[in-house]
Amino acid sequence: MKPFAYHRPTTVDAAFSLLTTLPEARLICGGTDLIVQMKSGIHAPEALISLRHIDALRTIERDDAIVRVGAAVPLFELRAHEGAMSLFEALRDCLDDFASEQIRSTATLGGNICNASPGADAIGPLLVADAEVEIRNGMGLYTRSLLSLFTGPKKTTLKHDEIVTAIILPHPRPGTKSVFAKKKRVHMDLALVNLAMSWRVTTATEDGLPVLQHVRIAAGAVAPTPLRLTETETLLEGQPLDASRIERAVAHARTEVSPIDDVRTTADYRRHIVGVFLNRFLTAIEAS
Amino acid sequence: MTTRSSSALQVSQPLSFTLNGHVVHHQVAPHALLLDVLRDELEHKGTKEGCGKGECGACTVLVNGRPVNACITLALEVEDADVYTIEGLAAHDAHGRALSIVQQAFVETGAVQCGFCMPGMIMTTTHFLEHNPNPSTRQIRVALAGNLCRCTGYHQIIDAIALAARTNPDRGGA
Amino acid sequence: MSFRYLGLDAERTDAANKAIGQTHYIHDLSRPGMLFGKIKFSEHAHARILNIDTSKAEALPGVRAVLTAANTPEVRLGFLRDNFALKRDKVRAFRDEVAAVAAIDPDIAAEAVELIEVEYEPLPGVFDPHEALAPNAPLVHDTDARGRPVTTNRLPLEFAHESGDLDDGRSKSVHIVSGTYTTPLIQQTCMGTAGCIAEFDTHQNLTIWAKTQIPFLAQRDFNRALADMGLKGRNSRVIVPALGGGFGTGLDTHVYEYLSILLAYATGRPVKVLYNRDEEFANLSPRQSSEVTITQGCDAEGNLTFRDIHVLQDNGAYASWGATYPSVMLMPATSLYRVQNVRFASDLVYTNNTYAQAMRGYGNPELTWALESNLDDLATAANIDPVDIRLRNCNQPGETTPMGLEITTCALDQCLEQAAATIDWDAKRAANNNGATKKRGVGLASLIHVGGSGRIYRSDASGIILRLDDYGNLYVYSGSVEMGQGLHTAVTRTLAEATGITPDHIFINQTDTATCPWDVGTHASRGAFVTCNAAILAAAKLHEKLFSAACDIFPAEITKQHKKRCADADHHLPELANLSPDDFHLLDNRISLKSAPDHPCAHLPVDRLLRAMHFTDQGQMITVEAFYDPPSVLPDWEKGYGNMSACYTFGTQAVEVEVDTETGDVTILDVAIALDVGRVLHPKALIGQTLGALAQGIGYALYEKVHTSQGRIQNPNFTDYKIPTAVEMDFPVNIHFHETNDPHGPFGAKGIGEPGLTPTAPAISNAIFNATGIRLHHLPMTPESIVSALKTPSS
Repeated sequence: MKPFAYHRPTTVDAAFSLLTTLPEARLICGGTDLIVQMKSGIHAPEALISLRHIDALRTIERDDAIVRVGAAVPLFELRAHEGAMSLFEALRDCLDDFASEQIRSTATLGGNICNASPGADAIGPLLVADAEVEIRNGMGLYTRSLLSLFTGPKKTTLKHDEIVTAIILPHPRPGTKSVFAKKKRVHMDLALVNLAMSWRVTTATEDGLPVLQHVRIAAGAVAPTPLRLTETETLLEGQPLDASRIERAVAHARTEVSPIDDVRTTADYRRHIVGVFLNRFLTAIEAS
Repeated sequence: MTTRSSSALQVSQPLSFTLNGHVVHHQVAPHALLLDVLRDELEHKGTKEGCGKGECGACTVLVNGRPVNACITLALEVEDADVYTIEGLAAHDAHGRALSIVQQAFVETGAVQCGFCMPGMIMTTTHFLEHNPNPSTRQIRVALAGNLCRCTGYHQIIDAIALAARTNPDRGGA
Repeated sequence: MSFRYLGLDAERTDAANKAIGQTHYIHDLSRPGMLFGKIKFSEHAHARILNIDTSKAEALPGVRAVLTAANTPEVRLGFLRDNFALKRDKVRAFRDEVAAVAAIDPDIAAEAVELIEVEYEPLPGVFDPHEALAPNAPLVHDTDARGRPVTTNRLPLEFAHESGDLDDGRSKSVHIVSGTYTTPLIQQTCMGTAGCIAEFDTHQNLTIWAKTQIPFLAQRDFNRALADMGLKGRNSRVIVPALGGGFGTGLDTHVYEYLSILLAYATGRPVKVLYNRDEEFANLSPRQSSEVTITQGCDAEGNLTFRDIHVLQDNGAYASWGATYPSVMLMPATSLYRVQNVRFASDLVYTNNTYAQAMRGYGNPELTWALESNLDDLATAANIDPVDIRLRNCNQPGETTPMGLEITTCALDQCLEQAAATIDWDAKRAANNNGATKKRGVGLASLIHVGGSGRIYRSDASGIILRLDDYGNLYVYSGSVEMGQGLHTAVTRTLAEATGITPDHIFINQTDTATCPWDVGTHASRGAFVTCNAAILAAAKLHEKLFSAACDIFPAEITKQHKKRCADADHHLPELANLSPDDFHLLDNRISLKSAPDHPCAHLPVDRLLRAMHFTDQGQMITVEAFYDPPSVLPDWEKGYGNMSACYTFGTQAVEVEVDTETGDVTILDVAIALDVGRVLHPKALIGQTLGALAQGIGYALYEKVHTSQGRIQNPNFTDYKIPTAVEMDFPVNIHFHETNDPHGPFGAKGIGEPGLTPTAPAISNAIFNATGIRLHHLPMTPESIVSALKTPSS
């Protein structure tokens, strides 16, 4: 790597102050993406500001309304937090399968979000949980929806002097369930495609068909940014879930994504798998 | 335009941490990676570089009890941390053996072939068994997914970990 | 036959050191004053080099040498002498080396490489062997090694065979099936990457610590390079550290080794060149790819009537060992199962792609992939069970095959039956998958491989030196290479068995051309076969010397000992007069009489004997040597004829799979392996080799491929070149070793390093066919290819 200066602030204010005085600095937390990119020369910042040692960014808080996950919480700690994991099953399942034990020692939600890979595993489960990000900038703190953060592959709305400080997850409504699926080549792999979904089953119809409410579907690695399949969600929202509706939803989901061919797999296969995963999610709901 | 070249010309920063139970006071360049500092500056060659990207696990060391890929860890991040490498494993084991229980199990089951992946594999295993004293073989395999081996096909490694779990006197029970 | 050591499990001699991180690989070694070398690679697949400007690199502080073809003697390499350590006029692939730098640290060397400016005139490239054979295709090489113009990209190498009468075979066929099968470039991905340290002494002799499997052929190659450098008559010493994996990567000498030598000579200092993983993926020669077209026929009963095979290989830019895969392909092509009418032809073609070297199996997995897939299709056409058709055509001991391979021991029929029974073939073949999303099936495939080395050079020998010291320690010097396969342990156990010295007194020295006798190389699964055979010969010589000396020394020492210790004992010593060497044996470090092995006083610790021999007038110490050359011949490759090995290893793998027809995922549920190994020398090591090879076979079958586009490797990293993790190998494996006790093997053992991956891909493919009815022709059998095949209406 090209040499750089290293800073280790212990407060968010100190980190912010460094950012504003060092225009060529980057923030680093677990570094599991950034260090790899710096080693291949994709980034060569003149300074790194480590967020790892800021206690305020490493807490997980749960109250009656929200779960607030500090942006610098290592994923293994998040996974061990029963209070958070019991509410967000898709996120829990995603974390069980996230890279490797070694990566989970230092990787963070903040890092996964700011790296903004369209296929980032954690983002889908957060999207279907209506996550918001809390951001610190020159004017203080503000929040925005996670979905609105992404503008393109590895691109976000974040300006140089903005720090993601937390991910805010509203408590799911009672009866909400969520699932996560990831298509890989071997067990330690990034996602060829990932799909997350959350929903509530409200009533059953006279025929015993479930009716879905608050449907959220998020797909990764199938578009320039992580994607909510809002049209497919609309197809399902408030409707009885029978085989014909499942078929329509699956067919539509396949048109709602815009995957590409790359060295990992083909656009056709990604599109195909989106449908397979959604079909499996929905069929399981219908069967239960 | 000057190129930022030669680590020798950079200002280095102090780094203090505990390495295999002994306190180390060192100076490192800010961009130095933990793996390179361990191997080239502190002469602990046991930890290996397999890929440099955190993909293969050959460089796994324990930092504050957690396995990390030393190849993508800045050395300065272990300031004040408790670091264990393969060299310190027998010392880490509370029973005063020359080989830790995990190391001895790897030797016994035939899990060691070329040996290059072994330090990383053994460090990951050591952490895993401390937190999972009675694992299923599936759990073992998933825990090792970040440690690649090209020689063994993993089978005898799984046997070793199962053996280490059974023979661990700290396990409790029979 | 009961053994004290062989066939029993024991800790490997090198395992503890590896488990505590005390084994030193090339990555861990350094020499005083050492510099670091880095290489500048081409930016084009095919281009003329117009100019190389090294001035900025030379000016960088810390740089000690910058080499290009302009300031360096020309060093050619490769068995066709078509490659150069530094490219002068043209680059022919992205990995072509155009400059090399030595600097005081690797970062400075890398920076200097970036500062070298090369001006190219791009040329049209050719990246497909079919296109490269077309008239008017761009020529990768305009001339041969002697400067004579060439007009084709086809390599001037012939590997061919024809025996029997193909037309007659065709005419007798009731069923004929053809298919074309491909295999991709595969990366060996040793966990320890490639590297070396080169160092000259003041007399300009070279020492090179090399990650090699061929120390002596490397010595030959490097001596030739020294001659090219104006140092004719100077010598190379090749020292082999712990490898960190071989799998064939060490069977060639590599450009990076020559560059480290040139840099060491230019700077007068030791130079280390080490590939990091990125460099290794992009620039180290991978496994050769192949396109095999095969036709097989059988009569109504399923007897094979003929076999016609053509192999096309994309050779890449230069000829390395990938070009010789057809020499090994001849073996299964002519000799896996019995078929009298066989034709084999091959075409090797230069392209501007990367070029290939050896990898485990060396052409056998490629050919077996095609042959065993096609044979199952033939069985389907003939409506014969795949096990039955193989049993019907099974090789038998005592036969000579069309290639002239003399089959000594062979338990292939038992292996077929064993594997099929273990996988529960009959029940599982008949399983009904109708309507299921996840379909199950079983398939199997067999292998033949060289079991008694494979003669590919004018000597196939392996020498060994044994030396005893005053303490009864046995020092072993062998030119063969331990690369993790367990060779040193096998040799130690064999010597313990053969000499009677216990394993804890046996020490194997580092492989070093200055101290060890010649060995052609550790390849062809030959390590234990040749080294242990040499060890047994040497052990006999050791006994001869020991027991000759014992004739006089034993009586004297025993009598002395008896007087001292047993003065008042009741027992009598056995007859000690007129002893001959045959009267003695050595067991557990003690010499005793065969006639009275349990006599409490009639035994002598061997170290006492050795000191008595040494510390006397005209004293002697014992060193013996043996040079073992297997009974085999160097084949005529153009005729495809010659018994290239002393014996042959056979086996069968049966696999049960589950195919998810929606995602295309293939899950392996069960594997049964039956292997005719001659003799199990060390069970856990043999299991380890078999399972490790299986994992490579599974990677080959399902996951691995080096993707290239216009000559550039697209996935030069573990992110996108996926090898199996522990999770992919989560299935039961049942292994049965058949001990046929081959007359040529050390204690009957045959070579086993490569057989484990040879039949894996076709076994899996045959299982997929049984499960789904789809026949795949291209490796890897990815989920995408399975989904695609399931969507295609079958013809």
